Amino acid sequence: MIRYLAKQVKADYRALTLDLAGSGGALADLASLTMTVRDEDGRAVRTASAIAYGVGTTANSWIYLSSLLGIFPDYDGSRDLLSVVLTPTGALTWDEVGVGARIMRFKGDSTQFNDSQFLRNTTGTDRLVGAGITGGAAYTYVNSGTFDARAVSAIFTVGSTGSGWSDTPPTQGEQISAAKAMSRRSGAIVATQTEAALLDLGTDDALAVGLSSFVGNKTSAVTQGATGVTFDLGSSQMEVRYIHLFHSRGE
Amino acid sequence: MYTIRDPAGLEVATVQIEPVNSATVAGAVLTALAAGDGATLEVSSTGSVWHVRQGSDLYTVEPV
Repeated sequence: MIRYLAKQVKADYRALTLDLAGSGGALADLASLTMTVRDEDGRAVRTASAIAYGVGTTANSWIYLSSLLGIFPDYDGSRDLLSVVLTPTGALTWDEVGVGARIMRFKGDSTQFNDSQFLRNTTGTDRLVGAGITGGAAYTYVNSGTFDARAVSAIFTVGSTGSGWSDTPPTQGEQISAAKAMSRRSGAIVATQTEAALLDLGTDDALAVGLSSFVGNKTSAVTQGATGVTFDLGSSQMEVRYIHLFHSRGE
Repeated sequence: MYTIRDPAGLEVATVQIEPVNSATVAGAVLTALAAGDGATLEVSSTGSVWHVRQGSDLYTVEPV
Protein backbone atom coordinates (compact mmCIF):
# COMPACT_ATOMS: atom_id res chain seq x y z
CA MET A 1 0.00 0.00 0.00
CA ILE A 2 1.28 3.42 -0.91
CA ARG A 3 0.50 6.13 1.60
CA TYR A 4 0.72 9.77 0.75
CA LEU A 5 1.48 12.16 3.52
CA ALA A 6 0.43 15.77 3.36
CA LYS A 7 3.33 18.14 3.10
CA GLN A 8 4.10 19.67 6.44
CA VAL A 9 3.92 23.44 6.55
CA LYS A 10 4.90 25.76 9.30
CA ALA A 11 1.97 26.82 11.40
CA ASP A 12 0.71 30.36 11.06
CA TYR A 13 0.48 30.54 14.82
CA ARG A 14 3.13 29.85 17.38
CA ALA A 15 3.77 30.59 21.04
CA LEU A 16 7.00 31.00 22.92
CA THR A 17 7.86 32.09 26.44
CA LEU A 18 10.71 34.30 27.50
CA ASP A 19 12.13 33.13 30.81
CA LEU A 20 13.79 36.17 32.33
CA ALA A 21 15.67 34.30 35.05
CA GLY A 22 19.38 34.92 34.83
CA SER A 23 22.41 36.34 36.50
CA GLY A 24 22.68 39.84 35.09
CA GLY A 25 22.28 41.48 38.48
CA ALA A 26 21.66 45.21 38.69
CA LEU A 27 21.91 46.32 35.09
CA ALA A 28 23.31 49.57 33.81
CA ASP A 29 21.34 51.54 31.26
CA LEU A 30 21.58 49.85 27.86
CA ALA A 31 23.37 46.84 29.35
CA SER A 32 22.39 43.53 27.78
CA LEU A 33 20.75 40.62 29.52
CA THR A 34 20.23 37.08 28.33
CA MET A 35 16.96 35.22 28.61
CA THR A 36 15.85 31.69 27.79
CA VAL A 37 13.26 31.08 25.08
CA ARG A 38 10.96 28.20 26.00
CA ASP A 39 8.41 26.27 23.96
CA GLU A 40 4.87 25.30 24.99
CA ASP A 41 6.22 22.48 27.13
CA GLY A 42 8.68 24.71 28.91
CA ARG A 43 11.66 23.31 27.06
CA ALA A 44 14.52 25.69 26.43
CA VAL A 45 14.86 26.10 22.67
CA ARG A 46 17.39 28.92 22.48
CA THR A 47 18.46 32.11 24.17
CA ALA A 48 17.68 35.68 23.28
CA SER A 49 19.00 39.01 24.44
CA ALA A 50 17.54 42.34 25.42
CA ILE A 51 18.83 45.53 26.94
CA ALA A 52 17.88 47.35 30.09
CA TYR A 53 16.38 50.66 29.11
CA GLY A 54 15.75 53.77 31.17
CA VAL A 55 17.95 52.89 34.12
CA GLY A 56 18.80 56.04 36.08
CA THR A 57 16.29 58.86 36.47
CA THR A 58 13.79 58.43 33.67
CA ALA A 59 10.13 57.67 32.96
CA ASN A 60 10.80 54.03 32.12
CA SER A 61 12.12 50.85 33.69
CA TRP A 62 12.12 48.53 30.72
CA ILE A 63 13.73 45.67 28.98
CA TYR A 64 13.92 46.32 25.26
CA LEU A 65 14.07 43.56 22.66
CA SER A 66 15.50 45.21 19.61
CA SER A 67 14.79 42.25 17.36
CA LEU A 68 11.62 40.20 17.33
CA LEU A 69 13.27 38.20 14.57
CA GLY A 70 15.49 36.83 17.29
CA ILE A 71 12.39 35.28 18.85
CA PHE A 72 10.33 34.41 15.77
CA PRO A 73 12.64 34.03 12.76
CA ASP A 74 9.84 34.68 10.24
CA TYR A 75 8.31 37.64 12.07
CA ASP A 76 7.13 40.53 9.88
CA GLY A 77 5.24 43.30 11.64
CA SER A 78 3.82 44.63 8.38
CA ARG A 79 1.35 41.76 8.38
CA ASP A 80 1.58 39.85 11.65
CA LEU A 81 -0.29 39.95 14.95
CA LEU A 82 1.72 39.85 18.14
CA SER A 83 0.24 39.16 21.55
CA VAL A 84 2.22 39.69 24.73
CA VAL A 85 1.34 38.53 28.24
CA LEU A 86 3.30 39.42 31.35
CA THR A 87 2.62 37.36 34.44
CA PRO A 88 4.04 39.25 37.41
CA THR A 89 5.48 36.89 39.99
CA GLY A 90 3.39 38.45 42.73
CA ALA A 91 1.37 41.53 43.42
CA LEU A 92 2.77 44.72 41.98
CA THR A 93 3.77 47.46 44.35
CA TRP A 94 1.58 50.33 43.20
CA ASP A 95 2.98 52.94 45.53
CA GLU A 96 3.12 55.78 43.04
CA VAL A 97 0.28 57.42 41.18
CA GLY A 98 0.70 57.61 37.43
CA VAL A 99 3.03 54.60 37.31
CA GLY A 100 2.41 51.06 36.12
CA ALA A 101 3.11 48.33 33.62
CA ARG A 102 3.50 49.06 29.94
CA ILE A 103 3.96 46.98 26.81
CA MET A 104 4.95 48.65 23.54
CA ARG A 105 5.80 47.43 20.06
CA PHE A 106 7.90 49.87 18.07
CA LYS A 107 8.83 50.33 14.49
CA GLY A 108 12.59 49.93 14.24
CA ASP A 109 13.18 53.69 14.19
CA SER A 110 10.73 54.20 17.11
CA THR A 111 8.56 56.60 15.09
CA GLN A 112 5.46 54.39 15.33
CA PHE A 113 4.11 52.11 17.98
CA ASN A 114 1.38 50.06 19.60
CA ASP A 115 1.02 51.13 23.23
CA SER A 116 -0.62 49.21 26.08
CA GLN A 117 -0.69 51.03 29.41
CA PHE A 118 -1.65 49.86 32.90
CA LEU A 119 -1.27 52.47 35.59
CA ARG A 120 -2.47 53.76 38.89
CA ASN A 121 -4.75 56.75 38.41
CA THR A 122 -2.98 60.04 38.90
CA THR A 123 -5.82 61.27 41.10
CA GLY A 124 -6.65 58.20 43.15
CA THR A 125 -6.06 54.56 43.82
CA ASP A 126 -7.98 53.11 40.88
CA ARG A 127 -6.05 51.46 38.07
CA LEU A 128 -6.48 52.39 34.45
CA VAL A 129 -6.06 50.23 31.38
CA GLY A 130 -5.09 52.21 28.30
CA ALA A 131 -4.55 51.49 24.63
CA GLY A 132 -3.11 53.68 21.93
CA ILE A 133 -1.58 53.53 18.51
CA THR A 134 0.31 55.95 16.31
CA GLY A 135 -2.19 57.61 13.99
CA GLY A 136 -5.16 56.69 16.14
CA ALA A 137 -7.74 59.37 16.80
CA ALA A 138 -7.64 58.84 20.55
CA TYR A 139 -6.28 56.81 23.42
CA THR A 140 -8.83 54.62 25.16
CA TYR A 141 -8.87 54.16 28.93
CA VAL A 142 -10.94 51.89 31.13
CA ASN A 143 -11.30 52.35 34.87
CA SER A 144 -10.36 49.13 36.64
CA GLY A 145 -10.92 49.86 40.31
CA THR A 146 -8.21 48.85 42.74
CA PHE A 147 -6.82 45.80 41.09
CA ASP A 148 -4.24 43.11 41.69
CA ALA A 149 -2.78 42.56 38.22
CA ARG A 150 -1.54 39.01 37.73
CA ALA A 151 -1.64 38.77 33.94
CA VAL A 152 -1.10 41.88 31.86
CA SER A 153 -1.77 41.52 28.18
CA ALA A 154 -1.55 43.27 24.85
CA ILE A 155 -2.64 42.41 21.32
CA PHE A 156 -0.89 44.33 18.55
CA THR A 157 -1.75 44.57 14.87
CA VAL A 158 -0.91 47.22 12.29
CA GLY A 159 -4.35 48.73 12.85
CA SER A 160 -5.21 48.14 16.47
CA THR A 161 -3.98 47.87 20.02
CA GLY A 162 -5.82 45.80 22.60
CA SER A 163 -4.99 45.95 26.29
CA GLY A 164 -6.34 43.92 29.15
CA TRP A 165 -5.56 42.20 32.39
CA SER A 166 -6.64 39.60 34.87
CA ASP A 167 -6.45 39.32 38.64
CA THR A 168 -6.38 35.54 38.42
CA PRO A 169 -2.83 34.36 39.14
CA PRO A 170 -1.87 31.90 36.39
CA THR A 171 0.49 29.05 37.03
CA GLN A 172 3.88 30.61 36.51
CA GLY A 173 5.31 29.48 33.20
CA GLU A 174 1.95 28.40 31.79
CA GLN A 175 1.39 30.07 28.44
CA ILE A 176 -1.72 32.01 29.37
CA SER A 177 -3.08 33.75 26.29
CA ALA A 178 -3.93 37.42 25.96
CA ALA A 179 -7.50 36.42 25.26
CA LYS A 180 -7.67 34.53 28.53
CA ALA A 181 -6.26 37.46 30.44
CA MET A 182 -8.65 39.90 28.80
CA SER A 183 -11.68 37.72 29.44
CA ARG A 184 -11.31 38.18 33.15
CA ARG A 185 -11.34 41.91 33.54
CA SER A 186 -11.15 45.30 31.91
CA GLY A 187 -10.01 45.67 28.37
CA ALA A 188 -9.39 48.66 26.14
CA ILE A 189 -9.00 48.68 22.41
CA VAL A 190 -8.25 51.38 19.92
CA ALA A 191 -8.06 51.24 16.16
CA THR A 192 -6.85 53.62 13.53
CA GLN A 193 -9.56 55.17 11.45
CA THR A 194 -8.20 54.95 7.94
CA GLU A 195 -6.14 52.52 5.95
CA ALA A 196 -3.61 55.26 5.37
CA ALA A 197 -3.01 55.45 9.11
CA LEU A 198 -2.07 51.81 9.55
CA LEU A 199 1.32 51.29 11.12
CA ASP A 200 4.29 50.93 8.83
CA LEU A 201 5.94 48.06 10.65
CA GLY A 202 8.30 45.40 9.37
CA THR A 203 10.94 42.88 10.27
CA ASP A 204 12.98 45.25 12.39
CA ASP A 205 10.31 45.93 15.03
CA ALA A 206 11.21 46.10 18.69
CA LEU A 207 9.34 45.25 21.88
CA ALA A 208 9.57 47.00 25.24
CA VAL A 209 8.06 45.80 28.51
CA GLY A 210 8.31 46.97 32.09
CA LEU A 211 7.12 49.94 34.13
CA SER A 212 6.43 53.47 32.93
CA SER A 213 5.67 56.74 34.64
CA PHE A 214 3.11 59.11 33.17
CA VAL A 215 3.93 61.79 35.70
CA GLY A 216 7.58 62.49 35.02
CA ASN A 217 10.91 60.92 35.77
CA LYS A 218 11.58 58.59 38.68
CA THR A 219 14.54 56.63 39.91
CA SER A 220 14.65 53.54 37.71
CA ALA A 221 16.36 50.19 38.05
CA VAL A 222 16.30 46.86 36.20
CA THR A 223 17.67 43.85 38.04
CA GLN A 224 17.99 40.31 36.73
CA GLY A 225 18.19 37.40 39.15
CA ALA A 226 17.32 33.75 39.52
CA THR A 227 13.63 34.56 39.99
CA GLY A 228 13.33 36.87 37.00
CA VAL A 229 13.68 40.56 36.32
CA THR A 230 12.63 43.17 38.85
CA PHE A 231 11.56 46.53 37.51
CA ASP A 232 11.75 49.46 39.91
CA LEU A 233 10.40 52.92 39.11
CA GLY A 234 10.15 55.29 42.03
CA SER A 235 8.58 53.23 44.77
CA SER A 236 6.66 51.05 42.31
CA GLN A 237 7.98 47.58 41.68
CA MET A 238 7.13 44.60 39.47
CA GLU A 239 8.92 41.27 39.24
CA VAL A 240 8.41 39.22 36.09
CA ARG A 241 9.88 35.86 35.25
CA TYR A 242 7.77 34.90 32.25
CA ILE A 243 6.68 36.85 29.20
CA HIS A 244 4.51 34.88 26.81
CA LEU A 245 4.63 35.83 23.14
CA PHE A 246 2.06 34.68 20.60
CA HIS A 247 2.82 35.29 16.95
CA SER A 248 0.18 34.94 14.26
CA ARG A 249 1.23 35.37 10.67
CA GLY A 250 -0.89 37.61 8.50
CA GLU A 251 -0.68 38.01 4.78
CA MET B 1 -4.98 74.24 36.27
CA TYR B 2 -7.50 72.81 33.88
CA THR B 3 -11.25 73.17 33.67
CA ILE B 4 -13.35 70.14 32.81
CA ARG B 5 -16.57 71.08 31.02
CA ASP B 6 -19.54 68.86 30.33
CA PRO B 7 -21.25 68.52 26.94
CA ALA B 8 -23.33 71.64 27.68
CA GLY B 9 -20.21 73.67 28.39
CA LEU B 10 -20.82 73.80 32.13
CA GLU B 11 -17.87 73.52 34.45
CA VAL B 12 -17.60 70.14 36.12
CA ALA B 13 -14.38 70.80 38.01
CA THR B 14 -11.14 72.72 37.92
CA VAL B 15 -8.22 70.45 38.63
CA GLN B 16 -4.45 70.36 38.65
CA ILE B 17 -3.07 68.11 35.90
CA GLU B 18 0.69 67.86 35.79
CA PRO B 19 2.15 66.80 33.47
CA VAL B 20 -0.58 66.77 30.86
CA ASN B 21 -0.87 63.66 28.75
CA SER B 22 -3.65 61.28 27.76
CA ALA B 23 -3.22 59.15 30.87
CA THR B 24 -3.28 62.04 33.33
CA VAL B 25 -6.24 63.68 31.58
CA ALA B 26 -8.15 60.40 31.62
CA GLY B 27 -7.45 59.96 35.30
CA ALA B 28 -8.56 63.48 36.16
CA VAL B 29 -11.82 63.15 34.25
CA LEU B 30 -12.63 59.73 35.67
CA THR B 31 -12.16 61.13 39.15
CA ALA B 32 -14.17 64.30 38.44
CA LEU B 33 -17.05 62.28 37.06
CA ALA B 34 -16.81 59.75 39.89
CA ALA B 35 -16.82 57.16 37.13
CA GLY B 36 -17.02 53.62 38.39
CA ASP B 37 -15.20 50.42 37.59
CA GLY B 38 -15.49 49.69 33.88
CA ALA B 39 -16.06 53.27 32.78
CA THR B 40 -14.43 53.85 29.40
CA LEU B 41 -13.06 57.09 28.00
CA GLU B 42 -11.57 58.09 24.68
CA VAL B 43 -9.00 60.84 25.02
CA SER B 44 -7.73 63.02 22.19
CA SER B 45 -6.39 66.54 21.86
CA THR B 46 -6.48 69.57 19.61
CA GLY B 47 -3.72 71.95 20.54
CA SER B 48 -3.98 72.61 24.28
CA VAL B 49 -7.59 71.46 24.51
CA TRP B 50 -8.33 67.86 25.38
CA HIS B 51 -11.45 66.06 24.27
CA VAL B 52 -12.78 63.23 26.36
CA ARG B 53 -15.64 61.10 25.10
CA GLN B 54 -17.62 58.91 27.46
CA GLY B 55 -20.24 57.13 25.45
CA SER B 56 -22.07 59.85 23.53
CA ASP B 57 -20.99 62.61 25.92
CA LEU B 58 -18.06 64.78 24.93
CA TYR B 59 -16.22 66.62 27.68
CA THR B 60 -13.51 69.21 27.16
CA VAL B 61 -10.48 69.84 29.32
CA GLU B 62 -9.09 73.33 28.84
CA PRO B 63 -6.21 75.17 30.48
CA VAL B 64 -7.36 77.95 32.78
